Amino acid sequence: MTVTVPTAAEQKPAARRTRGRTSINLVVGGVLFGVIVAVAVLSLFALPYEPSDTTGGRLQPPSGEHWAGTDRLGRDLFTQLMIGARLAMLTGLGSVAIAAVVGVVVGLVAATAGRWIDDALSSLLDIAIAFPTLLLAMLVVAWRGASLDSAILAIGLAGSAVIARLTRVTASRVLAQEFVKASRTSGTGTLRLIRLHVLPNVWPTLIVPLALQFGGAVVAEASLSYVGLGSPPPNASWGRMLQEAQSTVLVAPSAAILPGLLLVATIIGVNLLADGLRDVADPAGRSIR
Amino acid sequence: MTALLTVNALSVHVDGAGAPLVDDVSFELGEGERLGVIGESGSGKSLTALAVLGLLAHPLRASGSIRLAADGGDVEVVGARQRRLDTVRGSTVGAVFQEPLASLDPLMRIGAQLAWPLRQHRGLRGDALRRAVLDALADVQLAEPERIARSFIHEVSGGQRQRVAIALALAARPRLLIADEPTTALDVTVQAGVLELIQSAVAERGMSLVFISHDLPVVAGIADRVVVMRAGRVVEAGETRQLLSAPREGYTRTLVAASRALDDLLPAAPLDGGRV
Ligand SMILES: Nc1ncnc2c1ncn2[C@@H]1O[C@H](COP(=O)(O)OP(=O)(O)OP(=O)(O)O)[C@@H](O)[C@H]1O
Ligand SMILES: [Mg+2]
Repeated sequence: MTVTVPTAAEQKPAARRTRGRTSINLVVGGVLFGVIVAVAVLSLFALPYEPSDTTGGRLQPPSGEHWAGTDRLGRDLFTQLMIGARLAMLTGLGSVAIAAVVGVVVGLVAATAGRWIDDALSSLLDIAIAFPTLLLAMLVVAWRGASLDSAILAIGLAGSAVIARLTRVTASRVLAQEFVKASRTSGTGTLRLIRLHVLPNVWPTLIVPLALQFGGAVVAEASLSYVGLGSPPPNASWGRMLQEAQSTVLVAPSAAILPGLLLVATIIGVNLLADGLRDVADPAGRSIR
Repeated sequence: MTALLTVNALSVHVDGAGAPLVDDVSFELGEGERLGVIGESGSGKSLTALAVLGLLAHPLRASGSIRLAADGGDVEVVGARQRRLDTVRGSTVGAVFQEPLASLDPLMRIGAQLAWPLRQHRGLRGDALRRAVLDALADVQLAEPERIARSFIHEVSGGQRQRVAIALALAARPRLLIADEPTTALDVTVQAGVLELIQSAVAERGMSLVFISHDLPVVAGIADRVVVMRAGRVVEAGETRQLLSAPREGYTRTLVAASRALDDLLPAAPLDGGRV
């Protein structure tokens, strides 16, 4: 038996219908996302200019020397965009890692501990899911100060509630399976049961939501930056660059358009990739084959 | 005779609701003894088995007493903590369930699954562990143990699956095997083989057996004693031969009569003669 939400029988026709499209999703998403990852990695080793180099002249349009133009202090925007890519990846990875670890642990505790703890955690999760991310972020900022780390922590915690609930539901379903009873009867303790059977069977259902959260985290960080909760240029996220550029958007439109385009490209890339991963991650697909 | 399993006044309730699903069931099982549990669908056979294994999940609840004679002293299963149960499961009691495909993790190779109880209970590692896995598969008369060990459960046939499930149940060398309708989900052509395997494994290892089934002739062939259940209660219990030749209770009589009638209907001679 599989542990996906719809039964294998329900899923088969849909899977067949989308199989052709899925590979396109994977390819387009992979290319978009891959380019941004490559740029982020490259920014660690080589940048066209020093980030704080102000010799470029103010608010220059894109040119051969400054591919994306300069900001109002004369710093190279292409350099900043590359750093932004790195920060976007860091935001996505960091908050997804927090969401995954916190969410999976809480979800597993709820699924395996007694009823009392389960009920208490479920009510807490209901509240946490309803809690606005922005409000949570402000609380974290009030606690730790405005920084990228604070944003990542807040976004990760906000995302963990959904992951926790998903983990609880899926883990409970796995725990009710006959093979868990069979494993239990051979003396497998709870922790090993989780490691051997529950986690491997829960992962596939988490991959897609986590990939989607990656995109969501980048957008959320951009919104937080836009209201001023991010680190300032030259080490700014794309969201913060957008905020910086808004007052001069009529004079130097490329400073606002380019980070916006990159944001959109990242989100589309990640979502297409998540869509493509759905089939790969689907355990039903594995057992049908 | 020392009792390996003593079930006393076992009842199973749905938490806080109505009539019991298993009602005041008592029986005893000695070392090396084979007990058949028979009864119509929904009579509480599986719930009794799950209760003995300590596997009843919320909202089901057991009351009464289930004592297992484990190596380190008797264990009371009803109300026991998970940790305590983990020490008797595998080494004292093992189980085979009705649906072999569901009895193994679809995402784990058969060999890896079989290796865990061998590691845990027999302390095997490395090469010795690998050999023990293959031996365990060969013990349940699976040809090509290497290939089976490498396969996922959906990659082997129904009969092979149940043999793998039996190997898994036997891996930790339990003293009691609970088989809950182990052949019901199987094709008739492989049922006999699996039954024989259970019988010989139990006999060779001197294990006790609780064999649950709807099928009176099958139980008659395998069990020393029989418990007949109906609507959650034990309606009759006794030695197999005696119970079948002189069923006292109305329900048992119906069962016996029904299987006799079926026997009469079948053209026994050509079938037997036709087999080589
Ligand atoms: N989790 C549960 N919650 C509520 N009732 C249950 C639950 N599991 C089983 N029951 C009920 O308990 C009764 C006994 O079930 P059980 O599975 O023990 O029957 P059985 O004798 O094994 O039948 P079968 O031969 O069909 O396997 C049935 O009426 C069943 O509907
Ligand atoms: Mg049953």
